Amino acid sequence: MRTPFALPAIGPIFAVLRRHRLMPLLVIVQIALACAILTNALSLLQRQLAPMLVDDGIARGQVLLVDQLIQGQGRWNTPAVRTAQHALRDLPGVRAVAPAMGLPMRQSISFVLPVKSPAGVTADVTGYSADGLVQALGLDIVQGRDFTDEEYASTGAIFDKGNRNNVVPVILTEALARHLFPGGGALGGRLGGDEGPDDDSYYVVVGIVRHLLRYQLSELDDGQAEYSLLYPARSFEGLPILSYAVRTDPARRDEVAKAIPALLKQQFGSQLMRNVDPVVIDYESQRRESFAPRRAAVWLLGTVCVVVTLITIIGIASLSGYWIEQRTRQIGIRRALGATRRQILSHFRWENLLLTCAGLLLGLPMALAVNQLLMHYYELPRLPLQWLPIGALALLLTGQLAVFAPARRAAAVPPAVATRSA
Amino acid sequence: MRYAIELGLKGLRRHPRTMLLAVLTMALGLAAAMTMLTLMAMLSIDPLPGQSQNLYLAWVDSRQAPTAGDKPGDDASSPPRLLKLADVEALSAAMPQVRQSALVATSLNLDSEDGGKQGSIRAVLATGPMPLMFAVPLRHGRYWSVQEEREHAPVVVIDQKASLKLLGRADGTGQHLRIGKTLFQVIGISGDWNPQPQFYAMQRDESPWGKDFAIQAYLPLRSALDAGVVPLSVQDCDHGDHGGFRFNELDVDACRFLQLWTELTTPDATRAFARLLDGYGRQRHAEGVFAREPQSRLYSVRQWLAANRAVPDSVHLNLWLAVGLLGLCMVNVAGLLSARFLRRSTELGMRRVLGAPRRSIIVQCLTEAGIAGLAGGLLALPMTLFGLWVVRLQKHGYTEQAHLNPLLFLALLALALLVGVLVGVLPAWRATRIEPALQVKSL
Repeated sequence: MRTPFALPAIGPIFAVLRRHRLMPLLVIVQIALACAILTNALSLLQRQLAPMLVDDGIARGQVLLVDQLIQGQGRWNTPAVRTAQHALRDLPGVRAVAPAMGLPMRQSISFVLPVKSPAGVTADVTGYSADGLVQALGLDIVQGRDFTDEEYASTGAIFDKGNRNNVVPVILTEALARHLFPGGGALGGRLGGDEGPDDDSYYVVVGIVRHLLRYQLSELDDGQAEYSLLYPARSFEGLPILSYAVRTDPARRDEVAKAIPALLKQQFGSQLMRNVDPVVIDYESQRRESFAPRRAAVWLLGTVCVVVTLITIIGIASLSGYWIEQRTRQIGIRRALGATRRQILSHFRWENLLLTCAGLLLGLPMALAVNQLLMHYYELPRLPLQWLPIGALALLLTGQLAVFAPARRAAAVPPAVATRSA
Repeated sequence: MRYAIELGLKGLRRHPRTMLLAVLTMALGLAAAMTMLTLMAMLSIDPLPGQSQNLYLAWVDSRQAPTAGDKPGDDASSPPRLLKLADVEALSAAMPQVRQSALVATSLNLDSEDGGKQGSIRAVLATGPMPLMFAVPLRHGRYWSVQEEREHAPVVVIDQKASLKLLGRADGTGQHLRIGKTLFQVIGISGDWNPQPQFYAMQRDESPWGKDFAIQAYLPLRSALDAGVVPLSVQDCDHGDHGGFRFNELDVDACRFLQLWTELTTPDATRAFARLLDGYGRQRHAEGVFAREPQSRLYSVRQWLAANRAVPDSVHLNLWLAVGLLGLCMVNVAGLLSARFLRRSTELGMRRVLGAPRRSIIVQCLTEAGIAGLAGGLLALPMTLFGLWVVRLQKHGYTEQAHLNPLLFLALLALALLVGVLVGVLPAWRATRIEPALQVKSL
């Protein structure tokens, strides 16, 4: 009987709950509704937020993205791409330039490879096909190495089927390596297409980078944010749309960004499709822009969660406050009969706990039902079950927090009250 | 009666903290629901009032056999829509009495005859009487004739702004514009036309909202193709690796790039066209031209918008959240207000003892609760305006027009009042039920 949470006599609590029905009922309904909203909102919030928290692994303040170079008269050929690459490289302040198909945060073209590891794990992986992207983005190689000149030379262009080598070296992200090779040993491992690796045609993992997000911004959810793979490409024959990643001296990035449009005009001139201007943007701005809808959703869902919690606290606090006030006399009698303050406090806390549990008993199935409905009508995942205990715990704490002040007031009632008439 | 109302008004001022909380909570719930409902109502508008109920998108499955890369779920989340020119023309020939138009929207380069002025505008390339079917307003001149379409005549209809920009005057009919290497005659001038949502040429994974979709030129498809125009739009081509997509080529025989619309005014006509479409698919499948199991679909504009999720899922989801929040707020307000009244049951009992009729007690409670509800509803107005302002900050193409609908506001104000009254009735009723004698005894 020392702690405030020592189990008091449950009997009186139930007796009271049976006699007054409206107040407990309102508390239970409130808890149930709050539970249904809160668990679903929290899981949606986590879903929106997760990809934004993943480290993107790209050198801060150094990277420029050049995109939307569309050939007006046909498809790009390798010499033109290389010439422009060298011209960009020669701009003062530029450290590395990578012609690429697929740039982080920009989905101007989508390249997805279905892969299967020897362990039988499959994944639809975003492909970055580029020449020197590790350098240009400042990616951090944690195992293995970057592609060699030889590998670049022997791997054909993506759009050029006949030219493709049977063994293609690739670099994976750490997250993808863990997913595909759950037992470890990703470096040097082989990956196949849909069917898994066979004897003469496969991808071989030569390196692993710490982080690299997919550029399909709608497919960052469910822990797949980093399912990306680098694919060596030095042949750009037949590419309809071209991009470059440019790494600059951090102090001179703005200056380089200003110089690039003129350079592109001079390099490609009339080859570019009329009226479609190339995009030159620094990585951080692009990231902000690409994540803007997610950020808005996070703010919205976060506000909903806070508001729901606040309203629940206000509701429970005022209802319990009233209800405890009603019973001031009974409390006085109990005190006069020898109950300690601690016991009074504990009585109301237990009462609140019981009501919250009753509300959760209603609310948790309701949360699942709401999720089922939403899943049925919209493209939403099943509510991850771990959110149920989290939501329940949050509401139990909310309930205890709300009842704290009224219960303290109740405990402060002096025994003398019992002797007064009202 | 006056006295009862006065008492109700006085009651409002007691326990100002719980009163304030109740009013604020009510306002918050209402504002959330109102903001999302406004957005929803705005997104559910009819894109072409007066004509959209007659338009149907027709599709028959002419795609190649599925390959390993195709996911079976793709069709469900975004229905296929594209057809080849040959199929469109065959369908048109099979039922010439039904107005049909297959179209593709693209950005198009137009130059003045001497090349001095260049423009790039969004255009519709179409077969059939597209401007008539889609109620494109005509300011001057005329649309192209069946004859002109059959002869692939180089004619174009442009809008007033394009005419002003390229030809120097609002009515440029009779003058010429260069598209590629061909001179096109301007035969008509249209007014502004940009149905929102852009339903007529929706593409997969593309938001159909925004000012950028405004169409400024209309061309017969065959004339445009003859002039070497390549629509910058989604193509689904046979035998192409990686979709065979090119920005500068179009293999008309191998590629699906058109969306077919029909004008069907009666249920009988709709059924007849659906039968024709289905029969065409079966026949082509039997002939071995269509590789997949025959299937065809006819969508009304409303169905087509729903199938393409013109109202984004996130908006639906937020509406559900807001409605849930409103429910929670209402329960909360009910709790707060009943606590207020029950606290005063002794006082109400006293009034009964002193001879006040039941009706008077009920009026007192209802006045107090009703005014609380009303205050919540009114306070919700500025909060909704704030919510809509936040919505407009998001750049989605559709948010600019998010403005409050007064009818909706009145409806939710009524809801607030109703909750107030409902909450007031219960304690009033309880108070009136108590025997005055008992009430006095307990004092």
